[in-house]
Amino acid sequence: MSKAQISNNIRKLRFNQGEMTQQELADKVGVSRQTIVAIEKGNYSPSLELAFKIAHVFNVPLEEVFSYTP
Amino acid sequence: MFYQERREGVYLISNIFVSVVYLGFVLQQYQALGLSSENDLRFWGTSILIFIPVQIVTRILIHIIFSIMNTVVTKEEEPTIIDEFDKLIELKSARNFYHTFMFGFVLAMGALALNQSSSVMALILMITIIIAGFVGDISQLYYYRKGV
Repeated sequence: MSKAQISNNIRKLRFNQGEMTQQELADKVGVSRQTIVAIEKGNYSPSLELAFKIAHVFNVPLEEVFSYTP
Repeated sequence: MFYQERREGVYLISNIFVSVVYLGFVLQQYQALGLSSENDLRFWGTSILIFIPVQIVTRILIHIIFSIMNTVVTKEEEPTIIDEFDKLIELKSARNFYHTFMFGFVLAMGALALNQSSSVMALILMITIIIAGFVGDISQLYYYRKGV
């Protein structure tokens, strides 16, 4: 499992976007809600393309959404 | 619990049910027919070949029934998107299925090498197909719950 090293701020960013729902985010980036939940929980590290799409929805750079701890 | 997890759970239960019933039926037939060693392989070959469409048809029926029941009970629509997460889970589950199948296949060939009868080999092969199916379904359920 790739739980440990990549963390994300999606929950916080959704909150800052007027409590955007997981389903809304999922629809905007073209994945299922389950995938967003898995990413938020750190159970799945998305592809680079999906990571950029998520950052694009929140209008922030990628490193504000995802961070890597070596 | 998400749609995919519920679906995989239902698939697993139906797979266990169908496989156990079919294996029971085949073993019963085998004992009742009392076949000669020449017809033995034909019987097992036919049984394994019939098992594949039985599984496919059952899965299609279960999918239709599950989709209807799920929509009625949860009022949720069936997700139409198959995204990268789904595809990765499918790939990893297929890998686990094939590893299990290969292990069983080697075991079946080993049985032949150890002078076991062809029906022992065929039985191991059939049980391998069933167990590999379980492994595939359990893997999907596990990866959906725990992540990949």
